Amino acid sequence: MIFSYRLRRNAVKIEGERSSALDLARGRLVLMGGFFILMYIVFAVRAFDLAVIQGRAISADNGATVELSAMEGSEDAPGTLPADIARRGDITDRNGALLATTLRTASLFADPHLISDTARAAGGLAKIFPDISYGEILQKLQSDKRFVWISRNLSPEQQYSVLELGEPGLEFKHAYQRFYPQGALGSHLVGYADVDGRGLAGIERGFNNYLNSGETLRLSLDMRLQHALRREMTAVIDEFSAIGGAGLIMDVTNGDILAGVSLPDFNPHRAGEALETEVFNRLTLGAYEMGSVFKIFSIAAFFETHDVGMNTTFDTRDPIRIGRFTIRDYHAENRILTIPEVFMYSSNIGSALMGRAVGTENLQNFYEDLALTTPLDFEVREVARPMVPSPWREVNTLTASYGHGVATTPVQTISAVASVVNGGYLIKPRLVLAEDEGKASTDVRVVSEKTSNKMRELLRLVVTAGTGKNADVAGYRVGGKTGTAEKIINGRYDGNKKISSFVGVFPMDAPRYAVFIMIDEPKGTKRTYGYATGGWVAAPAVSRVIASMVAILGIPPSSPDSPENAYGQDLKQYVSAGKGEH
Amino acid sequence: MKLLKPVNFVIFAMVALSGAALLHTSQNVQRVEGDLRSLEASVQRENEKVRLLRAEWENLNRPERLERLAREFLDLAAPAPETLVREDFVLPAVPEDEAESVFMEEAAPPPPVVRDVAYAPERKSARALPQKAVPPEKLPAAKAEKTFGELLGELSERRPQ
Repeated sequence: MIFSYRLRRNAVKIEGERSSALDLARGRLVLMGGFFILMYIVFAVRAFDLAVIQGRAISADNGATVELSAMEGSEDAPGTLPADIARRGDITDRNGALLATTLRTASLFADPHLISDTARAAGGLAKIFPDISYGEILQKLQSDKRFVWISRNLSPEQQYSVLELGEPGLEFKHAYQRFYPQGALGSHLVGYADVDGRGLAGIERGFNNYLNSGETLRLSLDMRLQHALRREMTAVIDEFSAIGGAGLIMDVTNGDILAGVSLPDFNPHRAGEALETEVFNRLTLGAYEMGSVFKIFSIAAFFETHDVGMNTTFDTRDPIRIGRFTIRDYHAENRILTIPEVFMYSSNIGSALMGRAVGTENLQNFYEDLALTTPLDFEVREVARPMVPSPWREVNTLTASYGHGVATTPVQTISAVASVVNGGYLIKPRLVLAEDEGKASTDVRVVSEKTSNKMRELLRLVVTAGTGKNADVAGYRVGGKTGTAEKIINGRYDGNKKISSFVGVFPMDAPRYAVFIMIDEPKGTKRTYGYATGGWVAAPAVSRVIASMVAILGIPPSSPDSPENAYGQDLKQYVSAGKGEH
Repeated sequence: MKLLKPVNFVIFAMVALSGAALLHTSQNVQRVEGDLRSLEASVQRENEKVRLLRAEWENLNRPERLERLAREFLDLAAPAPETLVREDFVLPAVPEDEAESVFMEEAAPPPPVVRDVAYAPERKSARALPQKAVPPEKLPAAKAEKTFGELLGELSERRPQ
């Protein structure tokens, strides 16, 4: 501008038409010059910005940035899931202990072409992964491929160590993986999901969509009780060389399942490799003839249909012959028994006679009301269809009275027991913790208050004086019923293959918890004089589970001389001094 | 020459100034956006770490493991039902004048340490504890125990895409 100004002053004054043309040219020149100067300034500022301002910012968090980009991986946005997919929700037990969660894991792969120093890299990696040998890594790193896996699902420490190697040819691939911190504990109820986050079994399957929307699910399980139950069942299965078992702990007031164990169990991280017998959920998929445990239901049905006292007697001296069937007693008393005696000595003949008195239609309806013979309605969707005789003849009524010829699942059995003892309200088993914890799960009445009270006293009698003595825990008024059923092998009952079970309820004067343990094919031991019945096998295990439960839940015992401790002892007047039981 | 009017200089200066201000602002925005991204990423990363640590914590707190460790290293077992305080139990009342002496008494011997009274299904391991203090790392480790890293490693594998 200064230049153009001088130009003007020194120039010869040109007038007229030419002068205006010159002015125009000059103006354009200035405009152009101004434009270029402006651009230079812009470029200079931008260059200064890139070189100095931003350059300093980058060098300031250089280390962090490099680590960050390496940790995040290149194939997806840093640390985020695609916006439309929520991370699969967690599953916790009632106390918030984590049962299933989704973790972001990194797997290490190498591009051998980019490895700068193969020997050094292999040496470093061999130190980080002790389970892979130096030679093995060296071989992988010198291959001609552009992609070789080194190790999957690294722990954060391993990831960090790999980054410290500073080898450009090593990269991470990230994935989301379902992780089960409790391992096999509770695996049958929690279930498992595949690598794509699809629930394949248990709660993972039953609540697949809910979990995939990112919601957390709280179950009614208590992992402490779950462990106690599993520990005692494992011990019993070992002692009696059994092939498996099923166990449940239920809150009889609302149907909450506090623990559910099916053995053998499996590692949910390796569910695909588990044996079929391990993955099989005996709790809901196994339908079993429960044996004498069913006498709880047939006698309750008898009380419902006959308003009689406990002194009603049944002649159990002779086996019942019906068609080609003969019904005998296992713990034979060979005399006339009162109702308490029938129950405490677990007389098949006595219960069959009661079943006959109840009548086929009544008994069928009663079992159906207790949800024993209809498919289980439950949050875990893998359920078995109970097996009922078809057609149902009179002989089936008699055998169903002592738990043969009718097969149902352990979950249904414990729910029906809960319904009978809790005052008579139908219990629907539930595994997902309800908002209103205290509320009963249904208000449908299945037996009268009176019948429920009678059954409580009878159940207590079995433990104080009958076949379930081994189940008692002093101060906790345990009641219960033993069950021993022969398994059907090739269409016939096999006397050597049994299912021995015990269902215990406590405290019997105001029932709160039911514990059911069923052991598959126990073999008698020297200690049990060769016996492998419910009273020898399952009852002691239930006793130990209850002993653990009261310590975990902090339930105080009653004192020996308190009135509730004498609960149900009035019934002893109906028990004559028989020859006792095994 | 219209262009060289002082007002033009002023306008020019203002354009340059506002240009510089604009540049400065846009730089600031970019930088702050960068900071935000890296903070968000690091929050995300920390959250992942928290999840991982929680999973490990829960894994280490498995009742089975705690029970085993308590038995091996602390010689403790769960209380048996007989040792629980009964529901009708009340602390014996102490007469007013004795109350102080009861709490001040220091000569009273410590209660005897009762071992193995509680229910312990595997008493052998409690007895087998060496009498001399052996540092925990020298005790034989349980063979079934898997480290958290090993557990992670056994998660089902996703095929490379």
